[in-house]
Amino acid sequence: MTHSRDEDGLDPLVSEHNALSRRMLLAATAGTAGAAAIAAAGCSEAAQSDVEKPAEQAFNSWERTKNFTNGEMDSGTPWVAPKQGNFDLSNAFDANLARLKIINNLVGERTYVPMVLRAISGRSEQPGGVMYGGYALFTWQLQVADPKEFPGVPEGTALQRAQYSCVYVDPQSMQPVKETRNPITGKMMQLNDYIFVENFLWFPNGGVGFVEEPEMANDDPNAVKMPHVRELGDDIILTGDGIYSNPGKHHPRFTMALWRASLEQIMDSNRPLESAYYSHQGVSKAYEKPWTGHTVDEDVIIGTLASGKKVHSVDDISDTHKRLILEKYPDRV
Amino acid sequence: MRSEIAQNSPAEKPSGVDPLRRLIVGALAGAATLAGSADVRAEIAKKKGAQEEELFNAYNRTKQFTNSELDGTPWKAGQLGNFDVNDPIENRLARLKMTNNLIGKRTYIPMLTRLVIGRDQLPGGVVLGAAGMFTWQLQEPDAAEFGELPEGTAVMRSMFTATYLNPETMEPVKTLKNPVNGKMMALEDYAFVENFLTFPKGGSRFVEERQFSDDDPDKPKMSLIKPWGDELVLYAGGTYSKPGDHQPRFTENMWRCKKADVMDPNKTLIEMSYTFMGANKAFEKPWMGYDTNDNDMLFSLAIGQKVHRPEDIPDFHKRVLVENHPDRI
Repeated sequence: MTHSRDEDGLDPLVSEHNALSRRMLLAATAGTAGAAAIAAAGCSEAAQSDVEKPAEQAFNSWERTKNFTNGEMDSGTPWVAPKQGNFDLSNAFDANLARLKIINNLVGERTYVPMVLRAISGRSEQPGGVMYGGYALFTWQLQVADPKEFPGVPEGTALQRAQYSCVYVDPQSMQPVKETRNPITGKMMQLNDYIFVENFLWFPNGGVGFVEEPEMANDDPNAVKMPHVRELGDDIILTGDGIYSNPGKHHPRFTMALWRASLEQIMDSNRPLESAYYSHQGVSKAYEKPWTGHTVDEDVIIGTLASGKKVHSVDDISDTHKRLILEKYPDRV
Repeated sequence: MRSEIAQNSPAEKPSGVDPLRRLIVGALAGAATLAGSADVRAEIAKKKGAQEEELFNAYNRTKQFTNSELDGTPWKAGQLGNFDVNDPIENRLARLKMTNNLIGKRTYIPMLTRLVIGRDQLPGGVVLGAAGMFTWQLQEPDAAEFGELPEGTAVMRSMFTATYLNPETMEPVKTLKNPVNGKMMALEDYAFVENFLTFPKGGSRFVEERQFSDDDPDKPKMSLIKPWGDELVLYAGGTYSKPGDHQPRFTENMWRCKKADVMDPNKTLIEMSYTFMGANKAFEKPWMGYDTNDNDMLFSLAIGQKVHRPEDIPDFHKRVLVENHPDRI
């Protein structure tokens, strides 16, 4: 390990205890991050059912696939939108393009969303505490959806290849550490990196499909569904919510995301790669990260708040993220 | 701001309500009815009353200032930039510049919020949107109101105002169906006022709710301000420190500013991006159709920006919020 400080003042004491074999035994983080970027708003159908019953199976995001293994990020055809600006936000087709320009881009380039985060635990009757901090990164690539892999999707559908990478840190210093104390149990937690990959389908009329986890988003590919995009002063705001729709011990489990970008820049067809501000809240049960020491029968929840910014060049990613994430996971570029 | 919330010590067993004891008391209540003992009932009622007193509900906060509290002497700092964020005194000034300002001006933080109901075992749902706003004024604290305090202490007069929106349209509505419990909600604006003391060495006191924050006025306390690229990030949050049915109850805030702006003494009113996460029991908003026996939770995510002039507040907030609450300017 190195001890030189980067420009952000961090001591890059990168944890060395994240052997894959151990990770496979340990549980997940607020693995709601990816879906937060996306899913359309609304109460899940299950939530509205009168006959809903808790499920036997408890979802655990730690079991997500960790890496693309067939060059998926680079092998597809980059997706380029037919329109780059001047969107009519009252039209679902245009609003979908505005949404994709806010969170991604319409010209087939790579998108990065570096973010900082902190997680708080909560429980019934008793106070919780600050659990951990983190530095995380989304790496996204929009591609033309291959009909062989995704048969039946409408023409114009964009496939989003997504990689998520997170290194957890001490929440009181935001410095890398090997372990930190669980404020509820008092026991030391050996922090484990959280990495996964996922695929999303963006349908041209506004619907979304989360390929691996349709419980989070599974819209009719042809139905018109208005993305929640609105003007606010000089800005344009996008909201996205995802409620995990299957009952089970994993509840409460949901994500919310808010994006803010310059309205002028998003509407300008000559400005294809613009920055955006990202905010995310994810809530899940603590057992999804077993290295916290919590089990599936405990009611402890973890709420995660992340604040990030969208960029399109590795050069625009902070040194902190380069040191903690990209040096360790070079495939995340 | 609920930003410097007390945290229980690691592994510390919280004092106060014992959940097992509560269950026993609850069971006793049933037995007492059968037994018909006045003494037992009185004892149970006494215990129950004590428990209810401990149940926190933000809905009960004072809604407005009524004695021209915002007209006190504005607080101004002696240093406006070039802060050493590793020094408690300058760390506190950097924090106040990021979240507020150091030259006695009014601060507004208009924000947009999404709210989700979460519940045990079953899916929840998106229940509300909101347009919210903080109005803040740093002042010199009056000893007659706050007692003797270290020189350099500032009192922050704070007003929070929110109007709830249809989450689909993000426009105001008067009634809305709660998608989780199926009840019609008569939406009420959320307005309250608070006072915070910020001590020169970094500690703070939430005057009305010391269980959130009640630091020693003379003890150094550093805020977590970290560089991130060309920005500074202020992290602040934690958990409500008292046990009770109001748990889980926690918040987290992140404030991001350009580091160059924070450090430049000639830039006094700087831009800032704000995000907030909150979690509390849904019963804290009685109009949502819950009572204190319900476990459903209400989660909030907000983004906002800091401005210092009413004209810089977005037109949307002026229309849906400020017009109905003109005292918030």
